[in-house]
This record gives sequence, C-alpha cells and structure tokens, in this order.
Amino acid sequence: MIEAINLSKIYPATDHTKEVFALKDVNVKIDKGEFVSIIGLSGAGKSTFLRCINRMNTISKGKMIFNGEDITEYAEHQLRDIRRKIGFIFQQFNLVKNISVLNNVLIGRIGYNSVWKNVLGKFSKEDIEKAKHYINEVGLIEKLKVRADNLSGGQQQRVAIARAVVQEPDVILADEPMASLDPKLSDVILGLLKKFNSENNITILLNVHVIEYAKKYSSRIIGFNKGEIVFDGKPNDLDHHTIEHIYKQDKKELENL
Amino acid sequence: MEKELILKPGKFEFTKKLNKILLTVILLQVVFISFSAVEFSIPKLIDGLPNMWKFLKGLFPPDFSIFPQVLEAVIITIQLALIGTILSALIAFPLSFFAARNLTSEKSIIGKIFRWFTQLIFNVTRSIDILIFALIFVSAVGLGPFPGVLALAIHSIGMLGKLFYESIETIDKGPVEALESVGASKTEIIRWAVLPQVMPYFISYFLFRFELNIRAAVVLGLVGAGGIGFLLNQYMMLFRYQEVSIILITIIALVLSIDYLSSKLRKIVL
Repeated sequence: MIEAINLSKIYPATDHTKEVFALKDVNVKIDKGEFVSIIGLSGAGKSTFLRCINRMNTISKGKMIFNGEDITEYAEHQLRDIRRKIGFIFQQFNLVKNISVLNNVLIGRIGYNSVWKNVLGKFSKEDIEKAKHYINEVGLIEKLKVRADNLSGGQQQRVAIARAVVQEPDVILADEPMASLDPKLSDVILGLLKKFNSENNITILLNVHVIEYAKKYSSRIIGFNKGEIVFDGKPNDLDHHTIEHIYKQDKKELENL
Repeated sequence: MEKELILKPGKFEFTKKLNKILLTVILLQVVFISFSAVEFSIPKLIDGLPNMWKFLKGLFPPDFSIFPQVLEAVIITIQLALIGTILSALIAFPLSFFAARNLTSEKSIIGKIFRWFTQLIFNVTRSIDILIFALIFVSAVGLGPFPGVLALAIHSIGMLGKLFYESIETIDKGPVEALESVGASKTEIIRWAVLPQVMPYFISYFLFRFELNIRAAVVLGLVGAGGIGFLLNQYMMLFRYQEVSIILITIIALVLSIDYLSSKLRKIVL
C-alpha cells in the first residue's frame, strides 16, 4: 500500500552548512491495516518520512508508491486525489481556532468536493452526517458548535482525529500526536487511533518517542537513526540492544547539543 | 587582526566624547535655524492675543438656530467617511492577498511581480496625504463630496492594504498545513485557514480607518468637499462666530462619539 524505494531526502549545502541527508536510501513496504510505530531520536528523519508519504515534503531521490501509483513527481493538482486518502495528525493539532468543531471536521471533506462549494461553505447533508458521526465517535458530540479554541488540548487533538477519519482515509499519519499533551491523555489518543485501525481498517503510521506506547499499540516497529532504517520488526523483537542502537548518538553530536 | 582589537581604552573614550559634542552642536544648529525660518516670535504671539480673545468672546452664546443645517452637514461628513472607507477596503482586501509574502510562492516570478506591484500601490497611496489627493480630484471632477470620497478612498487603500497584508503574514501556519494535508487548493486554504484567522483584524482595522476618515472628512470640507467642514469655512469667512461655535461643538461631539463607538466595536470583534 505504501512503498518507499531507495527514498532519500537531501537538504543541499548552504554557505554555513554541509549537505544533510534527512533520509538515506529508505526501503520499506507497509501493508493495509498495519499499525506501525516509528521510533528514533528527534532529527532522525521520522517526520520527514511521514511528510514524504503525503508529499508535504518533496523527494530528492528514489520513489514513493501509494496504492500502486508512483507519486514521487505528482504535481500540485494531482496531489488532491492522494492527500484526501491520507489523514494527517499534527503534534500541535493545527485546528482553525475561531471556527466551530463541526466546521473543523468538515474541512476533512474538502478533497472530495468542488472548489466553489468549499469556498461557499456548502457541505452536503452526507458530509455533515459523516462529520457528526465521527465527532460522536471521538466523544465530543456535545461540543459540536463550540469554537475550537474553547477546547482543552486533549479535546482539540480528538477533533483533529475526527478531521482525519472523516476523510475516510486508507492511512493516517500521526506525527507525535501526544507530545504536547498531558501524559495521562496518551492512552485516550492512541486508543482512538487503535480503534479506527481495527474497526475501519485504517493503516496507522505513528511517530512516537515513548517506546512503551510503541510496544503497547503497534503491530510493527520501525527504528530510524540519522535518516536510515536500523530496525524493522515485531514489538517483541525489540530488545535492549536494538533500542540502544536506535538511540545511539555520536559523542560529537552530543557535545553540539 | 589581533592588533586591531587592542585599542587603547583612553583614546577610544575620547573620540566617543568628541562625537557626542559634535552631534549636539549640529542638532542645536538645525533647531535654531528652523525656528528662525518659520518666523517664530513671542512678541507677535502676544500681539495676537487680543484678536484671539475677540474670537473666543464671539463664540458665545452659541446660536442653536442653525442646528438642523449643521446636522445635515454632519450626516454628509459621516457618509463621506463611510463610503471612502468602504471603497478602500473593497480594493485593499483582494490586493492584500497578493502582497502577503507567505501566500505567494518564493519561486514564482509572477507572484513576486504581483507582490512588488501591490506593495508599491500601498506605499504610494499611503505616503500622499488626503488633502493633496483632494486638491487633485477637485481640479479633476469639480467641487463637492465626490472628490472628497475619492481622496479618502485612495489614501486609505495604502494604510488598510498594509495593515491587511501584515496581519496575513503573521497568521499561525498550522491550520494552513492541515488544509494542505487534506488536499485543499490555494483558494480553499485562503477560505478556511487564512480568512478565519485574519477577519477579526480586518474588521478592527476597517473601524479604525473609519475613525480616522471621519476626522479627515471634516478637514476635507475646508477644501470644498462638502460636509461640516465646508459649513465651518463658510461661517468663518462671514465672521459669524456664534454659528461657528455650534459647528465646533458638533465636530467635537461627532469625533468623540465615533471614537467611542469604534473602540467598543473593536473590542467585540477581537
């Protein structure tokens, strides 16, 4: 379903920096329905990898295949068709703060409607029903008309999850979705992702830095180190030695921090 | 390299002090020359005091009989400011999206040209005063409120446009990314991620500009653009100070109440 072939993301050298490989020859294949956790240090290329899948990042070398199509070189207008099938959940929720919860979730339907209908804000009855359905699923139906900035952080992230699932996506990419929340809420957020993974058969790719959560929720774990995949396997195969390998840092880099 | 760094501290302090003294002398010269250039003179001011007293005495008692006429002129002044502000907002609103750095792509040359051009329009219209525009338009379309409206509108485009595009440039990028991630096009991103964020600011700036335009519209009457300023000018030239006094009272009441209203409204939208 998602396949990266020799995928590299290179930031070219500037006057002050050397050329940086954010991703280096990444080869990975992810099947429909998997719950994959991606672990690694910050700067290891986890976010870059997710953003290459929905092409929010350009790809320097190699290929990205989504649903059998090579999307590496897709132009802006072609991206609409694949992006509507890929939900994205951000660390900072990224809701539109001064519009209602319902309208925030309806934004997830934009990729399916004509531009002028979206601009006029004319969503079909079906879209509104779907939005309400998923707002109910994340437990916020009583907040339907509330402005997004009147919600707590955890509630905002649940709205963001509803916005992603209302896209009826094949995959949801979640980039550190609990990193800016109270740790108590992690199970709520991940529980919702797990639920949509098993009930709606949505593939989940989760960037996470707490290994316990990766082990608890996912069926597969991928470890990144300096843009390269250094581990790919079942949660049970992840022993102390491999974890150390994934989180290995050069002494020199540590000094620079 | 290292030799240059080791400056003798005493010498350095001395040149610093000398620079300060020199700068002070130059500034004093400039101020002194300017005072004499504008023919500033205290005796002249004292000589003029009796005239000023005569004028102030003439203001009382205010003649309320012309109040209906004053009210009519005030309404024209308000209409002048309102139409001028609306016209400028209608033009500045779409242009500001071309001027904002974060909406035009860095690579596109057409985008750059548009941005440069709209910013030029804003800077030029903003830097030419309303009165100068009024003089130009009076000579083009004749006396009356119409040239006044044009002057207000053109000048306000610059200020509103600048405020508009600057508030677009400071939006939170998060919602824009979220819209991109669901597959939204540029128009849809503007509609759902940009507009909701900037609209409260746009309304607030509109009200603020209306407030300024009320004051400007009063002055515009003096150059023949109608309204309360025009009436004031007429009675001044006839030396009918009792009528002038009621006009001045009305102007003060108008400006204060519009200021109050607009600040109340702005608090609501922000």
